[in-house]
Amino acid sequence: MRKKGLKDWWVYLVLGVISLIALIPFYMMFVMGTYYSEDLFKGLPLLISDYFWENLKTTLSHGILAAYGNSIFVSAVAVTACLFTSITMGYALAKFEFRAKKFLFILVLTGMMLPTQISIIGYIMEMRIAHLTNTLWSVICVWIANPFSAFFMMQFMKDSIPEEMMESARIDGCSEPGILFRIVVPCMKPAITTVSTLVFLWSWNNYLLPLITLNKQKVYTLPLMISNISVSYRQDYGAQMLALALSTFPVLIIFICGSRHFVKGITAGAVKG
Amino acid sequence: MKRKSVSVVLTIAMLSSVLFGCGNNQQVGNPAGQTGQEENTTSETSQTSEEEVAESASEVGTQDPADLTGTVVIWDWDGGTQQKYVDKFNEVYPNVKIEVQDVAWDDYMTKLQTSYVSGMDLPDIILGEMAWRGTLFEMGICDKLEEAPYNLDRSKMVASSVPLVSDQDGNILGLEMQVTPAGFAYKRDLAKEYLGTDDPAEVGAMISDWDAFLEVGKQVSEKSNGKVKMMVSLGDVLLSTIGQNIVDYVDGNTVDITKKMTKPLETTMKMRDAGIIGNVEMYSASWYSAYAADEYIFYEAGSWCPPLVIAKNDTEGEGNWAVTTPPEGSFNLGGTTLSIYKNSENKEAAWAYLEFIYFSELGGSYMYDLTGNYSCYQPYYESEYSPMDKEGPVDKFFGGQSLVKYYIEEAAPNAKTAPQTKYDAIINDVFQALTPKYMTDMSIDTQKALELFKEEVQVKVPEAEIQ
Amino acid sequence: MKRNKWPVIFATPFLTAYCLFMLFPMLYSFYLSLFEYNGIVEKHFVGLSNYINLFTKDRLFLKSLFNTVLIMLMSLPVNLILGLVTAYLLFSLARGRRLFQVVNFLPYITTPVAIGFIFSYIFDWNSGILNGLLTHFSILEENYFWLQQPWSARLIVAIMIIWRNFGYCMMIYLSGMTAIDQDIYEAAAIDGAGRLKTFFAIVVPLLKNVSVFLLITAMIGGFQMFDEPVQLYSGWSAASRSVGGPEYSVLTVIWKFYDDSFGSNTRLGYGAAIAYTLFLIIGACSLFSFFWSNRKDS
Repeated sequence: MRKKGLKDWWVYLVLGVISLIALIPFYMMFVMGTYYSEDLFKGLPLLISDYFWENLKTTLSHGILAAYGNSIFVSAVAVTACLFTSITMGYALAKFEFRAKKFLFILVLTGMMLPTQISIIGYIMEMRIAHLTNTLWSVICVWIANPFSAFFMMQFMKDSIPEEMMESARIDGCSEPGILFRIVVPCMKPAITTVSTLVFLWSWNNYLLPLITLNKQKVYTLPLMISNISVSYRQDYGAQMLALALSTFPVLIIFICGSRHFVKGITAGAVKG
Repeated sequence: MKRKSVSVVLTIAMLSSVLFGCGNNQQVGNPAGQTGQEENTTSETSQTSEEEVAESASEVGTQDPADLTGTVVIWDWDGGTQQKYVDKFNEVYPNVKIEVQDVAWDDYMTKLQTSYVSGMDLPDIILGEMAWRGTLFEMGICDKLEEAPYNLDRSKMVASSVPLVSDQDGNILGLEMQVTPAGFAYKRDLAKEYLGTDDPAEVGAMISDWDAFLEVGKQVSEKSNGKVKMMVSLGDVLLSTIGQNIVDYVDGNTVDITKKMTKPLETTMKMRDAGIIGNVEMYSASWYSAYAADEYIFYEAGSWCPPLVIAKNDTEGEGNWAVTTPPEGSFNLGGTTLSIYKNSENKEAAWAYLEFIYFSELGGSYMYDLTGNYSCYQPYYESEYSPMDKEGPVDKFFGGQSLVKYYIEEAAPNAKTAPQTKYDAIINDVFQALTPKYMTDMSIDTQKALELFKEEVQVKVPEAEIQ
Repeated sequence: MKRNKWPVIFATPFLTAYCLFMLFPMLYSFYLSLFEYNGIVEKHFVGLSNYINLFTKDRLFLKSLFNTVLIMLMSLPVNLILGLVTAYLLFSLARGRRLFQVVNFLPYITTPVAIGFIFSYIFDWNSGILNGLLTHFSILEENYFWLQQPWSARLIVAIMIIWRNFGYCMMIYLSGMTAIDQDIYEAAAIDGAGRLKTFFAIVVPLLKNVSVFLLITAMIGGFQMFDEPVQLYSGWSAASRSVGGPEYSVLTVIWKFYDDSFGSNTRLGYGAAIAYTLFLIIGACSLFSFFWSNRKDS
């Protein structure tokens, strides 16, 4: 017993060091946001400095609130739409036999392997024709069909939704959409959490697409707004770091709140695949 | 279903706004065609009846400024400054709406090119920073300003600016945001300590050419035990010498890099070998922070640097700065042009704005007072608004030195300038990519440096013949 | 018959959006890849010559591929091994498992821009923490140009990738360990197998599928490496118009694609050819590793 305790102490130490390394840059981001930009060069920014309010003012004056609103709208809609399409698609692939199944499956797999930047020009042209440029829809649409999410949902349903459950619902006279949304979806909390977190994260950090399709401050998302903080010839790193830290916040909260389901989701959706 | 209806509503809204926008534009468009004939009569009558403000407006050649309508979009990375000018402009032209759109410097060309390629709307006024001006001008999307409806008179532009705003065929494609001859700024306390004087003329005489600069550097290095360097980055030296070496090196598809780069690289390598230049990478965070450090004496300073770069990055340095002539004379450093997009639907209004701020006497004085910029409109310097005896916004920061006297009287007439080609943009890229290597690898001599430079240019333009 | 209409209906939303926002733009890109097109001059058909030029004339494409693979080789194995080992350590813990999991996953949700900033801040030549520490403790005599030398640049990018993704690997491995039947561990303990032995004899073989999954997904992600090197050279070190880092040592394929199509050039046709070539390489590698792991199974 004593021996085991000793060993555990060693394990805690190793894990502690690793976690510290993982945390340091993250911590630095938050701390650097409280510094006066020029002071960042004078030494290690380990402790919180006194320039937080000034930096906050700078970020506010650059419209961080509006950008926040835009980003939340984009990510929320993107997540919702993506969940809907990927759950239905995953359901079709996981629980039905039909002729085009193999073809659809390959389509999803191919989509996962394609570098996402590849399609940007054609996509922008579509957005222009649909008169959606300079609207937030132009950054939302790319997320509606997300191959990774569909694949993930399919895997999860294959392993975690027992066939019998659906059969008994069918016998009870439940319609197919009813089975999906009343029976299957409630069992999928972990997968939904995982996909939501990841799609939220990805759409939240998306930079290239909004850079090109959004030309009005009113519709700028957070990453665009942050890149505009440095006014011409003085790089305001302090304010920029604060904005970055603030922009990480929602993702952080979502992740921590959902972390229990998130881990489960990953287990079922990815590991057994 | 709900989502779909939202997007339908959105589309309708978008469409109607587009239609509405068209209606507006036609109002502007129609008189535009006629101004050619009407110009003389209307402007004469209005000129006599109106006051100072309208006088400057009459130069635009249209009727009452209030009649001009339209919405003009500008993409700018320093929107705050631009907005100050816009406010001034709107005092006279209340019905022209100028939308200043912030676009980060780093992203400017990416956004412009991609938007253009995918057929999206471009701004009515496009900025051409030195780093990409050649590329922009060769895209063929900027209107020639000497033609109607602009009819710019090139004799009124500061002479050294004309080549800088012209394409290779000599067409003027933009207005200079400001005249941008270079000086070497320096810190007075360090100059006193290591050079024995902080007087601009005396310091300038001490570094009259690069060899003298090198000698001074060695002395400073000795005196300070190697702590104090002459400049922050090797890039500063290279950029200066490239700017000084104005030669005709592009001939169709043949690019004579040897001719363009040998001399600059020679000087640069000499400075490096003597160990008198700092090891900071240009435009990096440390480079900006070096303005506040007390280890470097000289800083490359285009006319825009004192207010925009130096005063902003060395907040506690008031009174400790001065500017003098660089070794072997002034040259052009940086600068930004403002061009009008060829497919703009608001050319009249866009030009009214550009002319009002950037190409008039009154506009020149606004700029000088608000930001310390020097207009490229020559008559401004002889007019009643002339800044020559007025104190500029950062003169105090420079120990009371009259910056406008240095930049406009001493530097600008002697700064050599040349039209920008896409190769200038490429040389600029390559120079930035290679400087770290020159800086860190001491085994690279001028010859090797030149070879590397040629290779890099070739990589960027595979179809060109490099000499 | 009645059964069969439902999967089609369920697949429709995804399929519609997929065709509209992915498939069509993708096919359009392929069409462009057969043209010489820069968006300004009228495009003209060149057949496959864009693809051929990639391998014969372009000196940077093969280099970028080499860099990508190299940095992947530097980071991917470390990620997997480190992830597996820490997951195993974590698995043996009675308490604090979730805390460690969450903490180590934080890097994955940090904005890439911030990561680039912080890493270039750490490795900067004169204001960098690392040089400061190393010279302070006299490990180095003078500051080292971490970001200006090709090999250290690659190393830093690899470290960034490890730092960012290792928590993710750990989490997936940990999930895998939880999914293994608990009796096996107990049986091993009864047999007197130590931690080390259990690890090699039971955990590693049983997690083979997880490893293959991670390997393939990390490879797909690795080939698309872009954020880390770009952000490293645009935040703090900021010589942002120099593409690819010192001597193009961290120029990855996607960075090259990006630069050729939206950066210093607008050679859209050529850029599309780069992206499609990369896609073929990714596809081939995934298929190969998939079949390779499956064949060994049976």
